[in-house]
Amino acid sequence: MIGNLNSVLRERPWIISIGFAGLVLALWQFATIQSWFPDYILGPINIVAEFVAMFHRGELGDQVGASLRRALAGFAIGSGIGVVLGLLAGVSRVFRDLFDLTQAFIHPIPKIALFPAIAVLLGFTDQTRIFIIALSAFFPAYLNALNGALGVDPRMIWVGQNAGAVRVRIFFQILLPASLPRTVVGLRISLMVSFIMMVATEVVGHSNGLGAGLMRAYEEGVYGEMYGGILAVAICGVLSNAALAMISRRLLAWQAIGGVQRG
Amino acid sequence: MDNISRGSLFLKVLGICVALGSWQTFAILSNNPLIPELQTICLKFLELARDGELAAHAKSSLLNGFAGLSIAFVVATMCGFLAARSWVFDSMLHPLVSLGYPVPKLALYPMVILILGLGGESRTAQVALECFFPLFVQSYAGAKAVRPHMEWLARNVDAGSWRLAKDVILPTALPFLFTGLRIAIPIMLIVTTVTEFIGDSHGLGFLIARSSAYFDTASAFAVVAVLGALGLLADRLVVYSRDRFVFWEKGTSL
Repeated sequence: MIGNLNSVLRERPWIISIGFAGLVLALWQFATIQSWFPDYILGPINIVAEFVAMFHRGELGDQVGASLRRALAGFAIGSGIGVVLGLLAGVSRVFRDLFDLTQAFIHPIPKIALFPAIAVLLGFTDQTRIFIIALSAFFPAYLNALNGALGVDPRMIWVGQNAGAVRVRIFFQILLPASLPRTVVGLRISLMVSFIMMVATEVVGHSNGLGAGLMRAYEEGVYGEMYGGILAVAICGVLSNAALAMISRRLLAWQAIGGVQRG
Repeated sequence: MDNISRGSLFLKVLGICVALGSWQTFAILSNNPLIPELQTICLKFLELARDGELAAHAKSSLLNGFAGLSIAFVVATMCGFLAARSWVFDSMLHPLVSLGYPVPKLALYPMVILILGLGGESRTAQVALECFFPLFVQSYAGAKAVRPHMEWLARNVDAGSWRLAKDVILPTALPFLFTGLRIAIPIMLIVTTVTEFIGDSHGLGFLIARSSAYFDTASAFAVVAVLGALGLLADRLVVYSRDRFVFWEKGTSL
């Protein structure tokens, strides 16, 4: 009987996943109803209710719009430039050497540290925030595209050259697709960093957006709105990551056909 | 061969000189006290270093940062090993990790402050929270990479689960754990800095925020450079110890 149950669960591990998550949430809710926790810890049902209320009041939509615009703009600019420069540095030794030391010096700086100083110059504006997000998103994209391009089998490029392909064609038809698996890994890291930076640049200085909203809710002691904001940030992060995962599966679908290993 | 490496060194130095030179030119041309020239940044650095302020704040940042990183490392390694070995534990942790990984945990900071207060504890906790996920993913992948016949071999010589963990799983997972650390260290620096912008008056992040508030951008840039140097140093340290501990896999990148 027990062995039977065991094998049933083993084939359907999601039962345990959902069951355990449900148990934790139920215990949490029970503990808040019994007021074992201090006042500022809300139960999961109250948090969702607060989230729905904020959504209906329309304030959540404004915050999400402002935040996502900054995060995605910064991500697109930073990772776009990063991928192009990374691939260029991958094929051209001169390019790679020129960037090498500068990159090695700027890469380890937590880019958010530049935020207050740049904000003094440009103000606590959207431009400053997008600039910092783009700068942070640049490096994972650059480094992974560079390594992806370095890992491309040179014989493939020779074949292209033998067939008389010009440089631009070799770049777009051989180099870009062949380095794609590694490049996509970089893009996913960039997206995650962009979201961290989105929240980080909003909690500092006067701003609108999700990070600013939940920080203000904390300062004013409106804990319900704080939790609603946290939930909204979480949903944005999960959804955008899922979207990028779907796009990259599409982009890499051809890789599985030839039995080529995915990066 | 020698010619090529000399040429490459020349290009590398040229690259950094162009970068620094354009900053300097820009600073001179703009003639704006908020855009400091390189020597001003250096002087401010020396000033901060001489009165001991820099060292005190750096110490606070590093203590909180590395405390958080160590907590995350220990917890994530254990959870990763357990999840890789036990399918029950794996499916219990699965929703947390797959939903929690892409979320910026920084959004939880107000809640962490409510529980732990604005001091160093909340910064340490926040660093641990954010570093846990990349470390866990690597530790899990590392423990999963154990080849079955290695495990059979260990079972054959009557190795218990402790010896299995110590002598089979840990060595297999070690390269992955170092990769995890290399990913987690930059995250640690980001989180430490941001939380110091907000929190009480300690740490390099606070020093940057204060200098900027007084329009002393030269000091702010000097501290930024220090943060970068610390990040580089920590990363080199991880790479060095990886080469020492994972001596059988020399020369592989990351």
